[in-house]
Amino acid sequence: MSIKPDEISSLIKDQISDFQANVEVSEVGIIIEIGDGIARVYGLSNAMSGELLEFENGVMGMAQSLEENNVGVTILGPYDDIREGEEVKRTGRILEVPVGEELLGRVVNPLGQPLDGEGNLGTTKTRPIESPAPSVMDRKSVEEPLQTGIKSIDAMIPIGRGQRELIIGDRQTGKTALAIDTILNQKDEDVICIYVAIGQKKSTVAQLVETFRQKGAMEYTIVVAANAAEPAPLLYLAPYAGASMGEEFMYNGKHVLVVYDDLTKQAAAYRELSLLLRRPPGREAFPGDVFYLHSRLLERAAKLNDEKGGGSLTALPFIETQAGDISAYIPTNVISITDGQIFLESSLFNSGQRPAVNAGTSVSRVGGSAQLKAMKKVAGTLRLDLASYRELASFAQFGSELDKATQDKLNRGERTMELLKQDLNQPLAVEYQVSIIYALVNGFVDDIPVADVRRFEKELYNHLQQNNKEILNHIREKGTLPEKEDFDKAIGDFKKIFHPSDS
Amino acid sequence: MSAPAVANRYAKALFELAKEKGIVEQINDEIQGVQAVFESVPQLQEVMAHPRMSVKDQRTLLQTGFSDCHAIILNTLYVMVDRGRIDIIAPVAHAFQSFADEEFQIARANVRAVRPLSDREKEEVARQFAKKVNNRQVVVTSEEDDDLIGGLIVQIGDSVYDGSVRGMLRRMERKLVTTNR
Repeated sequence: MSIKPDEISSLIKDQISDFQANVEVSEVGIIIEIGDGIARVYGLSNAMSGELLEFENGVMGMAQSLEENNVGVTILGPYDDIREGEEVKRTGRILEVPVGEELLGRVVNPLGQPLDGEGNLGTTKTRPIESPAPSVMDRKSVEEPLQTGIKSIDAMIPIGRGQRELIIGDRQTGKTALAIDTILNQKDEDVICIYVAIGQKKSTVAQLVETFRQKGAMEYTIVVAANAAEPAPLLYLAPYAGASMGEEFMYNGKHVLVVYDDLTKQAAAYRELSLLLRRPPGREAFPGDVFYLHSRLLERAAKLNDEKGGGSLTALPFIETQAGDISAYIPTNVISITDGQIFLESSLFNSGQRPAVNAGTSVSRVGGSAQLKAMKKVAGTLRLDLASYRELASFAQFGSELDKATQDKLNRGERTMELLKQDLNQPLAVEYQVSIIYALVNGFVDDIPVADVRRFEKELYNHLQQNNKEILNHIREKGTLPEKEDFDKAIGDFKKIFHPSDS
Repeated sequence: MSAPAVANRYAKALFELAKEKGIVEQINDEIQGVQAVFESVPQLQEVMAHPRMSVKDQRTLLQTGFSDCHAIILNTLYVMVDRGRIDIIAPVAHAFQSFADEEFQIARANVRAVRPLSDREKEEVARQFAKKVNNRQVVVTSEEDDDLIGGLIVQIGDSVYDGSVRGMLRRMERKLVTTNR
């Protein structure tokens, strides 16, 4: 942006001409205690809970606990040069963030200030950071699929638009990778994505933004980043800011996907500031309202009815477990709030099964009704087959003599596991997913050596794209399976030209 | 319980007593006087807080020091000594002041300016601000503050009316900095 010198002069001129009438009226309090991002302020007897307050150096604060003769304020910014005895002003506003189309492609902090050095956002609208969730009557049941582009999820744990699906797993199990792939896959789906990074390293966020940019995903994505170096109140606010930005689109009839990566860190930040505000600690030292912290956030995900424009906000909250312990406080809370969960396991991840989705324990409570008909049909038995395969596989380790049925099941299972593997940043369109799973459940893959299964997959896609486009289009546009003969023939044709290695 | 909360309760008790007897103004003057003594002689607080001072010694000291005061003031001081709360005399006096102000519909305005205000200027401030505080009587105290460059800052309760040049410059700076970021 260019600034013309005469613009500045005219601005100053306006200021100076207004000078006389300009008496600022404000209510102030005096800081009586400050430290660790929390200030206690004497006075401000009319301050509202959640109101924005301004410190002398321009940093904003939020009134958190209103007590008999002081107000506990969380400081939303650097607090090194705020001193005891300074004044704190009321602003009369509730914390708001800028919203609107202008934010797409930008990286902002939880207050909506740009972090990407690309100048003013140019937004015209704002929304309060906390707002009530859509009411019961405004909602509709989830019915459209949100394609993640990940075979194991779209086939077995389908996510619908407006759903809240928890992604839970230890550190280093590919949680963030899952989110990135899902966002990348929304390229032609007309879904606006908001990625909320809470307490992550700046380098990680930079890397992620770079990935989005390279794959052209930044055009429909907003990144809200509260990095690890930010004070706890900003980390605590980040998901709400992301939800507000998403709501604006949802109420305008659009589809939004919000990824909260991750809520464990947000809960930790909230615990930090609650303890500093001297609220009584409860289990694992979290304050009493830590359930409400997440429930009110996730309730804002919704599928609106047609009178309200039919928009949706899908939430993908992340929870990081410690050594797979899902019975810790925060994981149990969030599991109970969400409409299903995807478990990622480090043992699967380390054995090369990536994405490391544990299909046995992962569920989606509402996504099934949103799944594409074709996908529902082919993948219907996949979960059960996998479960029985796993059971058999643990048995079969000990025995050598197996009857044919068992042997077949093991073979199929092995190939299924192989086919559920997927490379990083390679989301797959739903028609390809349907065709490979169709090939799998109809036994076309059973005689392919396990080592060749993934090559088979890749070449099948190419083959279908070049020779049987109408099949792919049919799945994509009508959402149903094409005629069995056509489909079988297409795959059969490909098998004739596919050469397994060293055989 | 924090000091201001406790002070409020002592002040309220004293105020109600004074109101029953109809001597709120006198008691207010006297408790402000006591507070002034404590403030101007910091050693007094130290002596009172000294562990070797028995409650009896403290009482004697207060009795001789404030013998001119009304009996209920002295009694209040005794009660505070007995409860080991004499250190909160300043907040008590302050809280009493606000109770009395509430009773007599007085608003206290603290005016900060670069030079001392003349009596006429104080009257003018009082007249101007009476409207803003529901036509209460405005008692003006003034303070000198060279940092303001010019103009006035009037503070009534928690509200601040900033008409100083420093404030205007600061606001202008913020506006110029934020609009073109």
